[in-house]
Amino acid sequence: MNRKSRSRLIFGIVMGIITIFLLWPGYQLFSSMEPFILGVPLSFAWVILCTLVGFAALLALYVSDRSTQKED
Amino acid sequence: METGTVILLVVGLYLLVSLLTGIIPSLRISKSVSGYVAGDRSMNVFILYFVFGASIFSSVAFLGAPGWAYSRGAAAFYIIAYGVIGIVPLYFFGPRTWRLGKKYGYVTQAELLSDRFSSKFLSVMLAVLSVAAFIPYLTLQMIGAGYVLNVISEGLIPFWLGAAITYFVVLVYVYFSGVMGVGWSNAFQGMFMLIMAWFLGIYLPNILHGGIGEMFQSIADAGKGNMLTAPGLDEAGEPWSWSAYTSAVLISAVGFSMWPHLFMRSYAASSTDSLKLSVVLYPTFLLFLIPILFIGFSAVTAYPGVEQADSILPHVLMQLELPAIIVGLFCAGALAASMSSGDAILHSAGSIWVRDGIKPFYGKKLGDKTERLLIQISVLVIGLTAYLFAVVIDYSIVGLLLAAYGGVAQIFPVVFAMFYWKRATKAGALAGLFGGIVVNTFFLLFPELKPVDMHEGIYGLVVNLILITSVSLLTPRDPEEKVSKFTEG
Repeated sequence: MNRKSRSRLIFGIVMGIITIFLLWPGYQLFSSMEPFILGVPLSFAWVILCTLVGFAALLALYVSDRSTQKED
Repeated sequence: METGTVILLVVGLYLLVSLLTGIIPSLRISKSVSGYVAGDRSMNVFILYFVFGASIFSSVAFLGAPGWAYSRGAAAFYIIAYGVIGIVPLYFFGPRTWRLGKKYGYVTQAELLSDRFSSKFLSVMLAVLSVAAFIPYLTLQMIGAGYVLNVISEGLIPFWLGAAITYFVVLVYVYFSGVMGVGWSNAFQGMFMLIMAWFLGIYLPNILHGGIGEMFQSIADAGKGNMLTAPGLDEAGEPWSWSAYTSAVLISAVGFSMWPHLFMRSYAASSTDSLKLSVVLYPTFLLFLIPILFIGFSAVTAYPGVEQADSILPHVLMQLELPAIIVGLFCAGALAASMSSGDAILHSAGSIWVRDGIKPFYGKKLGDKTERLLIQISVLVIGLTAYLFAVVIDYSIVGLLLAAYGGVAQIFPVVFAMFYWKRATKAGALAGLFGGIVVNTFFLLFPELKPVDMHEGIYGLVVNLILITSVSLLTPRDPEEKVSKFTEG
């Protein structure tokens, strides 16, 4: 497997996990109000965390795409 | 100076700057249709970032989202949740769309699809679907502008007049300057809104409750803990079902990248790299929804019982007796939110209606000049239609948006098949899209007939997928040279 398809596979897995945890049934595990995280209910903090992870994944994919482009 | 005068001055000044930023950039762009619709393919990362961001920061963000947080609690988290999933397809579809557009001169979504599946009918179907989904979307932007001016002026500016003034300005710059006007005014309006969102999102919880933690604690103490437990409440105030929440996130995520006004911006990018980077940066816009939801939550215990949940933010601001300049700035921020989405939709609706709905029947006979004029006329007609709906309709802002998403999501399977599934055929694409739209519309009109409480778009998508796969496999392959043009790359 070349580098490009490997980074896409990893990206796909990460996004898949995020999707499951933002929807039923994954999100149900983190759906309660308590504990409060930095004053924000868990249900809200969880969505924010997933968004940040998604952002990081996109950024990593972009960086890896750029470096493989240069090699070409 | 009197409070009312200060507010009006700030708003007036803001509208003037919007008008100028909307018109000036067009002076550099060619007068051709490609210039009007795709900005001569010259948008950089900075502009594209705000153009994508404006799709989130519409009236939905400034009024609908706080309104949902206020009345339905955790249900509002769906607005953040779908964005991060929904933007991903654009990272993969966008660069392909851009390359094909550059090579073959496409400027709309339907041009791409109808060429792949050699079907004028597909093009017309997409034009009708797009305009049908755009009108409620545009209507809700106008409702937003109307609400804001009405509440802030304490009823002095009637709802219909507020919407009319704001959208007159939008019409002027969309009419004259096309997509580059939209881009630059989005950038100006976007920066403005980000500042207002964070300022209010931190300021209001602090002044009303003494902090963000205290604000959530007060909701819990008031016995409204079920509001903060996902998936929040439904319209009647009862706990919302997981199936409804999940399907709302899912359908919005699928539909998001298919919105024709967003999809079309792929053509306007200056390069595939600037397109990719703007997609990657998009989630930072989602984070700006966090303070927006704080605003809605801050009013739950402080101002219970506001009937019109969508006007909760202006309502709170008027209760607090803030300095007039802050109220004026907020007012301008909310108008910016409404206008920055409204202009993009209006511009796309006109372009799509003419290029995909009318032009296929005229072929080459339609000159560039006539085409541009026809687009401009359509912009006027569509704007007026949405305005008429805005004045008579009475429906929640987020509710309207969710309804429009069901239709738009039906485009996804066809676009996906165009790029990745060689075996898809013309008959399959037509059957899938048509079947999906019919089922979606049926359950939209008769929600009581749904077997499970899910978004109607999901039922449409299931039928859509079954039809596109089975009919494609049952019909002979499309010609190879046609297919590979789209799947390679």
